[in-house]
Amino acid sequence: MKKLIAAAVLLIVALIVLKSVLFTVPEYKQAVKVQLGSPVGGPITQAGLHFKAPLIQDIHLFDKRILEWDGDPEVIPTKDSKFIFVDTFARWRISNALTLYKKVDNEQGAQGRLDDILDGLVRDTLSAHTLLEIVRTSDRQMELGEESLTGPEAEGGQAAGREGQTHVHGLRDELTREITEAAKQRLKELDLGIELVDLEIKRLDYTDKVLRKVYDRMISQQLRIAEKYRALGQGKKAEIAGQVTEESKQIQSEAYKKAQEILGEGDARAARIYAAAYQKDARFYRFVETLQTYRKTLDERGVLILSTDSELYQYLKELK
Amino acid sequence: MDEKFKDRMEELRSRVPRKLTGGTVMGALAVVVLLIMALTSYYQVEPNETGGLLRFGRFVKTTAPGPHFKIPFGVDKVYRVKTDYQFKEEFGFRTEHAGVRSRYSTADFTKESEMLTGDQNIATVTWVVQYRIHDPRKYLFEVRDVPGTIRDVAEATMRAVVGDQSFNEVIRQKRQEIELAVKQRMQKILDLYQSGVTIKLVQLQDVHPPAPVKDSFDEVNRARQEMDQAINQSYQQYNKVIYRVKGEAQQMVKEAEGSKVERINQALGDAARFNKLLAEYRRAPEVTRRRLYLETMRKVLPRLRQIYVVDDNMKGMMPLMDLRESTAGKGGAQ
Repeated sequence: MKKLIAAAVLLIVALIVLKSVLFTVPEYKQAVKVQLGSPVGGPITQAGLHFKAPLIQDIHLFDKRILEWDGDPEVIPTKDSKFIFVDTFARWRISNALTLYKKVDNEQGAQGRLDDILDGLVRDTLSAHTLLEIVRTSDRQMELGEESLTGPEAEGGQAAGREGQTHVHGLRDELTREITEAAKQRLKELDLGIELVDLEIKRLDYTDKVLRKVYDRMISQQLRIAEKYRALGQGKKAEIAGQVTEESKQIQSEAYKKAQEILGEGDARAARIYAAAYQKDARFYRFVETLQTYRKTLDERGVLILSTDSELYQYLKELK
Repeated sequence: MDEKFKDRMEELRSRVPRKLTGGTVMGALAVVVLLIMALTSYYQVEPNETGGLLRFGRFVKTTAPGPHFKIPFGVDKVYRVKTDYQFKEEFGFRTEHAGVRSRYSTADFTKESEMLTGDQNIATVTWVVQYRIHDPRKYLFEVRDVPGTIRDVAEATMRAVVGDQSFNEVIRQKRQEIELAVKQRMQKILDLYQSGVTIKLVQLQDVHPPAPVKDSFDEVNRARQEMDQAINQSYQQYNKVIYRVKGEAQQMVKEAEGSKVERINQALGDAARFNKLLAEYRRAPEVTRRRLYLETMRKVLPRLRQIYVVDDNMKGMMPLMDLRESTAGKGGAQ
C-alpha cells in the first residue's frame, strides 16, 4: 500500500520535473530560449519536443506563419494633384526569431517597424505618379462608353476627345513591386528578423471632397447624354415628319402627272376619232352640232326672237 | 514517516467508513484515470473534414473522416479542416439569412464596393468568392488568418482589375473577363503565400453606378425610352399618312384610266352615230336636213317662255305671233 502511494508521488514529481525541462514547439511556431534575460542558442524552428534548463531558462514563442500587416489608410496627393485615400496591406514573416526578439522584442514591435517603413514608401512612391498610372495596371486601350465623354461630340454621335483616350501607361503592378522590393531591401539592411512577402494596394479611393466632385461630373455627363437622346428623338421626329410630307407630295404629284397623261391620251384618241368622222362632211357636222346646241341651250327661261327673214320663220309659216 | 504524520493518518482513517480501505481508493482512482484516457484518446473526423495530427506540436499526419485514436494528455493534438467545404466570402453585401428568400444585411458596404475605374469614374461592384482548402497542412501552418487574407487579397485584386477597365466595360461588357482575371490574380497571390487554398469561383453580383449618381443614369434610360417613343410615334404618323396617300394616288390614276376609256368610247360612239347619220343624209340630203331641223325645233320651241318675231321691214318689235299656240297647241301667249 505504502509502496503504491510512493510510486504515485514519484510519478507526479517526475512529471513536474519533465515539464520544467521539456517544452513543445508547435508546427506553426518557433521559439527563442532565454536564459536569465538574455537569449541563448539560435532560434528553434523545428516543431516538436525540446529540452531546456529548468528554472533559469524561459521560452519565448513566435509565429512561424505568414503574418498580416494592415496599413492605415493615408491621404496621398498624386503627381497630377489629386488627393486619394490609399489603403495597403502586406504579408510578412519572422525570418529570424532571435534577431526579432533582440531588436524589437515581439510581433507588436515588428508591426510598428513595418508601419514606419511601408507607410513612408507607399507615400513616396505613389505621390511621384499620376492617378491613372496608379489606378491602371496596363496600357491597353479601353472601350469607352458615353460616360467617359469630356469634349464636344463629333459627327454621328461619336464622342471625340474622351478622357483616357490619351495613352496611359498603367503602373499599378510595377509600383507595388517597386514598393515591395524597396521595403525588402530596407528590412534586409536593418536586419530585424523580418521578411516581407508581399505588399498590395487594397483600396484606392478619392477623398470625400474629390468624390463629391466626381459624382457631380458623372451626373452632369449623364444629364448631357440624356439630353442628347431627347434631342435625337425630337430631331428624328422632325425628320420623319419631313419625310412624310416629301413622300406624300411625291406620291400625289406622280399620281396627278400620270392621271393627266392618261386623260390626255384619252382626249387625243377621242379627238382623232371625232376628227376622222366629222371630216367626212364638215358642213353637215356643223349643222348637226348646231341642232344639238339648240337642244341643249334653249329652255323655259329662253326668249326667242325670230326675224321674218329667218329660215325658221319660214318653216313655221309653212307649217301653219 | 514521522509520528505526526502517522497520527494524522490514523485520525483520517478513523473518520472514513471502515470498508473503504486504501486499496479501494486507489482502484477507483485508476478507473477514473482509465476512463479519462479512453475518452481523450478518441476523436472523430467529420465527413467533410480532414484531421491534422500534431504530436508534441509536430505535424505527424492527416487523417481521413471517421473515428481515430490519439495519445491523450495533450501529447497529440488534432486540428480539423473542412477540406470538402466550399467556403464563401461576400463583398459589398452580406447575407444574413440564406434561404428561398435570402435576407441581406442593410449595413452600408459602399467603402468595400465602390471602386475607381480606369477612366476615373466610380463603379459599385459587389461580388462573391468561393474557395476550397486543398492542402490542410499549408492552410493550418503557413498563413495566419487565411480567411482574412483571402478577403484582403480579393479586395486588392478586384480593384486592380477594375482599375484597368473603363466604366463602360465594368458595367456592361466585361463581366466574365473581370471574373476570370480576378480569379487568376488571386490564386497567384495566395500561392505565393502558400495558403493551401484554391479559388473555385469569383462571381460578380450587382455592378452598377454608385448610389448618388444612380438617378442620372435612370434619367438617361428614360431619355432613351423617350427617344424611342418619339421615333415610334413619328413612324406611326408616317404609316398613317403615307399608306393612305398611296391609296389615294392609286385611286386618282385608276379614275383617270376610267375617264380615258369613257372618253374614247364616247368618241367612238359619237363617231359611229355621225357616220350612220351621214350615210343616210348623203342618200337624201335636203329632206334629211330639213327633217332634222324641224325635229329639233319641235322639241325646243315648246319649252321657251316667249318668242318674238321681228319684221325687218318694220321698226321695233312689232307683230307678235302666238307661235306656241299654233305649234304646240297649248299654253298662253302675250
